[in-house]
Amino acid sequence: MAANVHDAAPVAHHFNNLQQQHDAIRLGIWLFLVTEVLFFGGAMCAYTAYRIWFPKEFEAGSAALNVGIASVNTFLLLASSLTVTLAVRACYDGQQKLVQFWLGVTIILGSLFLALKAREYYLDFEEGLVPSRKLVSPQQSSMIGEGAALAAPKYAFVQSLERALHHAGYPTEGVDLFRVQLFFMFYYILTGLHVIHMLVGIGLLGWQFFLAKFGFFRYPARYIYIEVLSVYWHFVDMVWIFLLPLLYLAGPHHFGQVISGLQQAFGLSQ
Amino acid sequence: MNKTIPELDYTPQMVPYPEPTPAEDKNRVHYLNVSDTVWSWLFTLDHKRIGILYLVSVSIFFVFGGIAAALVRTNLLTPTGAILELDQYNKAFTAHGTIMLFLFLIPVIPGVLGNFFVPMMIGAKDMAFPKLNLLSWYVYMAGAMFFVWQLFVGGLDTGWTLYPPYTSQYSHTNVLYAGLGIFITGFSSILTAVNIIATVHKMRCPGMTWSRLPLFVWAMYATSLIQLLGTPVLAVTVLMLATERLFGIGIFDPTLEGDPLLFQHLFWFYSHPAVYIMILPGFGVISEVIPCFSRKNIFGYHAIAWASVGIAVVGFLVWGHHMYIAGQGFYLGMVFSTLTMLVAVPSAIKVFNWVATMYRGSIHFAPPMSFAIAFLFLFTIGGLTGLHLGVLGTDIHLHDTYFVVAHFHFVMVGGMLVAWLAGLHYYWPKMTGRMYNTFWANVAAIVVCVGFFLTFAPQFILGYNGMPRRYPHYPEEFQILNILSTAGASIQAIGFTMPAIYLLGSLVFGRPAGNNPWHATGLEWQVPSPPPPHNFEQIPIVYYPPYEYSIPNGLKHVVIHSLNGNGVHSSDITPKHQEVTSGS
Amino acid sequence: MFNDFQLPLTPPRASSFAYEYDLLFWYISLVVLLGGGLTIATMIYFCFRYAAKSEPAQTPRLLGSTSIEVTWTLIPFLFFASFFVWGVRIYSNKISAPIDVPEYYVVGKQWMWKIQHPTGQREINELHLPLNRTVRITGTSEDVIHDFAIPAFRSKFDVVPGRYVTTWYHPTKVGKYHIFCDQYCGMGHSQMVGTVIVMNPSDYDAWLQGLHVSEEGKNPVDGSASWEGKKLFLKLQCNACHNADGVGRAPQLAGIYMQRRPLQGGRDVLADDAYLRESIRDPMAKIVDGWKPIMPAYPRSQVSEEELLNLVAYIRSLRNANDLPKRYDRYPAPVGAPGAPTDEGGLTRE
Repeated sequence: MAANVHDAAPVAHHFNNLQQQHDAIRLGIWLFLVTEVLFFGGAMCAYTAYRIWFPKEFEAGSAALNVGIASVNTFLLLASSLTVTLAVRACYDGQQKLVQFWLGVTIILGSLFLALKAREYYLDFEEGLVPSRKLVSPQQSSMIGEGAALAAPKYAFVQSLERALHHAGYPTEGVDLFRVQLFFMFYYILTGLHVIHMLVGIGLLGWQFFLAKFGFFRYPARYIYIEVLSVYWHFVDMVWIFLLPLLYLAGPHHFGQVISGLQQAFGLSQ
Repeated sequence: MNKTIPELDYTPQMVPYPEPTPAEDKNRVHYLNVSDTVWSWLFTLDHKRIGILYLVSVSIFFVFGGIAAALVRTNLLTPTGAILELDQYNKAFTAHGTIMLFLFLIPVIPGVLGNFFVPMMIGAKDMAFPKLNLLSWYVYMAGAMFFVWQLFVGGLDTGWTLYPPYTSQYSHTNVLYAGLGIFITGFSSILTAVNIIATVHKMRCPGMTWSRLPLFVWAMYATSLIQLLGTPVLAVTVLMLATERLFGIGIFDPTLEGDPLLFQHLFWFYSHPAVYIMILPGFGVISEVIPCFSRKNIFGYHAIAWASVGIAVVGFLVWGHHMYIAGQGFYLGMVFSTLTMLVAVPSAIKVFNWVATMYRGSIHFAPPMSFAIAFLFLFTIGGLTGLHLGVLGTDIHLHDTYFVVAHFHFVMVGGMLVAWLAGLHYYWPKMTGRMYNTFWANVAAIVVCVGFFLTFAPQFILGYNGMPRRYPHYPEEFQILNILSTAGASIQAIGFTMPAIYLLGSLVFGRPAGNNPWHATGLEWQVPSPPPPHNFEQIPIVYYPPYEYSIPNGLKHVVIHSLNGNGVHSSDITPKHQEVTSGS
Repeated sequence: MFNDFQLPLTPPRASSFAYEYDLLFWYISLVVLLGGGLTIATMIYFCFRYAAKSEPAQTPRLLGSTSIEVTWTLIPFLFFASFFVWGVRIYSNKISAPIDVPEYYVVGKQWMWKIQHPTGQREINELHLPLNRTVRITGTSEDVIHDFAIPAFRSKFDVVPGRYVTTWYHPTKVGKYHIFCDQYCGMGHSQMVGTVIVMNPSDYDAWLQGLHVSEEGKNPVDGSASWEGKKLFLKLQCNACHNADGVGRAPQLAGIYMQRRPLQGGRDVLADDAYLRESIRDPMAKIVDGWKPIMPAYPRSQVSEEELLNLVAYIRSLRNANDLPKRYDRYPAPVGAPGAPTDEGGLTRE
C-alpha cells in the first residue's frame, strides 16, 4: 500500500524480493498455529469425552472456579489483542515510538493476566482444590452398638471441594465429588499450557520491545515481524476464548459470583 | 498404442546428450569447503549442511536401534531367552522401537534428503526459514539426547506404544524422561514440516508450477502436512500420560473411572499417520529413481501426486484399526475397516504406476535401481499383508502376534529403509561429489534384500501360529522359525554395514562424480557436485515437465537462464510459447 | 471336508470359528498372493526384458492412461471390499455371544489368568472345556490391559480393567492348546501363558465332579482370608439370614467386631474373635438380646478350623451395611467379574 513499505528494508539472501519474504513468513506462522490448534485440540478432545461421560461432576467442578478473575482476565486479553494490532499499525506507519508504546501496553496487559492467574492458582491451592489422593483422618462415629458403621476416611480434595461448593451455593447431591478431580486435572493442564504460551508470548513481546528501542523497526517493512507475533498473540487469546466457556461456564453461574470472586482475589472477603 | 503416447504440448529444445563432465576443478568453491570450522558447521544456515548434520545423527541413532534389534533377535534364539533377563528384553525391544521410529524413520528422509534437495528441486537458494531449519536439528538432538540418556540410566520397558495403565501406574522405568524426549523430538518434526510447506508454496522458481514439481517434492509436501497435523496430538497425549503418572488422578485410570481406551485413541491418532510420515518420503525417492534408471517418463504423474495427498488425508481417518479387539465397539470398527481398505488403494496405485514406468524402459541396474527393485518386492508384500490386519475378522487372530511384526517390518524396513538406501545411493554423488563402488553397492542391495526376507518372512508363519509379540520366552515349537529369523538378521546386519564402508570409503578413494553421473533430469542435477553454497548461480526458469527421459537425445528438465534479479512470479510464465532467450 | 485339511506350519483348528476364520484368511492370502505375485512377477519380467542395451535407447513417452488407472484402482478396491464384507460377517459372528450358554469368567492379572467355571471350579492358567458345547467367556482385568488369546480357536480379546468383554467358543477338537497373553503387560508378559484342554463330554464331567478340583481355601493364590471367608459365607448360605437387605431374622454383622453385645438375661459380652468363633460353632451358647435362637450350628465336619478362621476374618472386615452380601447372592465369581450374567452380545459394556 504505502510506497515506502516495500523498499529499503533488507531482504534475506534466499528470497527474491520482500513480497516473497513476507508471504513466506506469514504462511510459516499460520502453519505453526495449525499445529497449536491440534495441540490444544487433543487435550480438549479428552476433556470433551469426560465431560460427556460425567456432566454433573464437570458442572460441579466449574462451579468451584473463580469466575471473577476469569472475567477480568478475558477483558485484559481482548484488550491486549487490540493493543498489539495497534503496534503493527504503528510500525506500518513508521512511528517507532508508538510501536514501543503499544508493545509495552500489551506486555503490561499480558502480565496483569498472568498476575491474576497466579493469584487464582494460589487461591485454588489454598482452598485445597488440587487433585491428589491424600486422605484426611476419619471422624469417629459417635454411635456404638448394633450396626454402627465406621466413617470411611475422606479425601482431602473432596473435603475442600465440599467447602468451595458450599461457599458457591452449589448443591452436591448426586455428584461424585472424587471424580471432580478429573475436571480439575484438565483445568490445570489446559490453563497451565495456556499460561506457558502466554509466557512465551510475553517473552517475545519483550524481545521486540527491546528491538524497537534500538531502532530495528525503523524500516516500516519490518511490520511483518510484529504482525507474526500479533498473530501468535491472537491465537493465545483465541485459546482463552475457548477455555473460558469450556472450563468456567460449564456449570451455572450468576453475576454475584463474579463480584465475590473478585473480592476473594483482592483479599476483600473472608 | 499410439493413443497412449500424447502429442507434445510444447516445443522441445534439442539439447545434446550431456557432455562428459570436465575434470574436477580443485579450486571450485562448494558448500562443503566454503568454510571448515566446527563453528561454521554447528551454526550453519545452509540447508545442505543441515542435511549433512541430520545424516550423521540419524546414522548414529540407527546404529543404536540396530544394536537393540541385535539384542532382541539374539535373545530369541532359544525359547527361554538366550542372553537377556525378562525385564532387560522388555527394555531392549522398547529401545529398538522408540529409537528406530522417533529418532530414525521419522526424521531420516525429511531431515536429510528433504532439507538437502527440496530447495534445489524447486530452484530455490535455501529453505524459507534457514534459522528454523537449524533450530529443528538442535531440537531433534536435544530430544534424542534425553532419550538416549534415559536408555543408559535404566531404560524404558513399556513398549513404544506406552499404553496405560501399565505405563502410568505399573512401570518402574524412565517413562517421564522418555516421554520428554519424544515430546521434544516432535517439535523438530513440526518445524521441518513448517519449513517444507512454506518453501514449496512460496519459493518455487519461475515456471515451476505444481504440475512440474518432482514427485519427491509432492511426497515431502504430503509428509509435511501429516507431520504438521499429527505430531501435536502425540505431544499433548504424552503430556497427559506424564501428568497421569505424576499425579495419578485418573485420566486413563480405570479404577478412578478414567478410560485407558481414550489414550489408545489419542495415541493412534498420531501414530498411524506417523507411519505415513515414514513411508511417503520413501515413495518420493522411488518416484525419482525408477524413471531415471528406466530412462523413461514416470507413468501416471498426476495419479502418484494425488495418491500421496490422498494417503496423507485418509491416513488420518484409520487409526482405529489398531484397536479392533481393544474394545472400541463394533460399529466404530466397521468404520475404521472401511477407511483402511480405502487407504490401501493409493499405495497400490503407486506400485502399479512404478512398474508401468519400467514397461518398455531401458533399465540400468545401478545401485539406486537395485534398491528400488528390492523396495518394490518387499513393500508389495508388506502392504498386502496389511490387508489381513485391516479386515475386522482376520485381525482377531493376528492382532499383536508376529504377523503384525512381520507386516510392519516389511513396510518400514523393506519399504522405507530400502527406499532410504536407494535415495542415499542416488544422491550420494550429488551430496559429496564422489562416486562409490557400484559393484559392492549392488551386492549390498542383494544382501539386504535376502537377509531381510529371511528375517521377516518366517515371522508371518510364527504370527499365524499365534506367537505373540514382545515375548522373550516362547513355546518350543516356535524355535526353528526364530532361529531362521535371527540368521536373516545377521545377514541384514552385514548388508547394512557394507554401505557404511564403501560410502565412507568413497570420500577418500572415490572418483569425482561430476554434475550428473546418472544423467538424470531435475534441477538438482544441473549444478555441480557438491553444489555451490547458494545452489544456483542463476535462478532457473522451468519450461518443461519433469522426468522427460523419453525425448530423443534426452532432454533436460530446465534451461537455466539468468534474470536481472527482480524475480518473475512463476504464474507469469506460460509453458508453450515462451522463447528461450539468452541471458540478460 | 476342509476342516480336516491342514497345511503344514499352520496351527490346529479347534473351534467352529477357527474354520470360518481360516476360510477368510486363506481367501485373502490367495488373492494377495496372486495379485502381489503378478505384480512382482511382472516387475521381474520387465527387469529382464527391458534391461538396457549398450547404446542409449529410445523409450516411448508414455505419460499415463486414465482408463488404466481407473482399472487398477477399481479392481483392487473391489477385492478389498469383498475382504471387508466377509470380515465384518465373521467378526460380528464372533462378538455376538449366545446368551443362555454356560458362562466362564476370566480375570487377567499380572501375571496369571484366573478362570472360573460356571459350576464354581476355579483354575489358574488352565481352561478345561467340553467338546462341542458352546460356552460364553467374560473377561476383565485386575490391573493393566491384558489379552486372552487362544490361537487354536483363532480368538482373542483385550481384557481391560474396569470393563467386561464377552466372547464365545465352540470347541470342535479334543486336545491341548496354548493360551497366550497378547497385550504387553510388563515383566511377566511371556509367563502369562496357559493351556486350554478340550475334553470329551464324559471326561469333562468326570473332571468337574471333583477328581481334579483344587481344594477350597488351600490354593495359595486364591486370595485373602476374608475373601475365602466371603466365599464360604455364601456357599454355606449364611446370607439367607445375615444379609444387606435387612430381611432378617438375624443380627446385622457389619461393624460388630469388638463391640459389646447385649445378651439375653441382662449381661453383655465383647464380640471378639473367640465370640465369633463360638457363635458359629455353638450358636446357642450366647444369644443376643432380641433375637430368636434359630441359628444352626456348624461343626468341624462342615467347617474346618482353617475355614472358620477365614469366616471370622470376613466378618471382621465388614464395616457398614453395604459390605454384607444380599439375600440372593450366590457363590462368588473371581474378583472383577459381574455378579450376574450380562445379556448384551457386544464386546464391551458401553
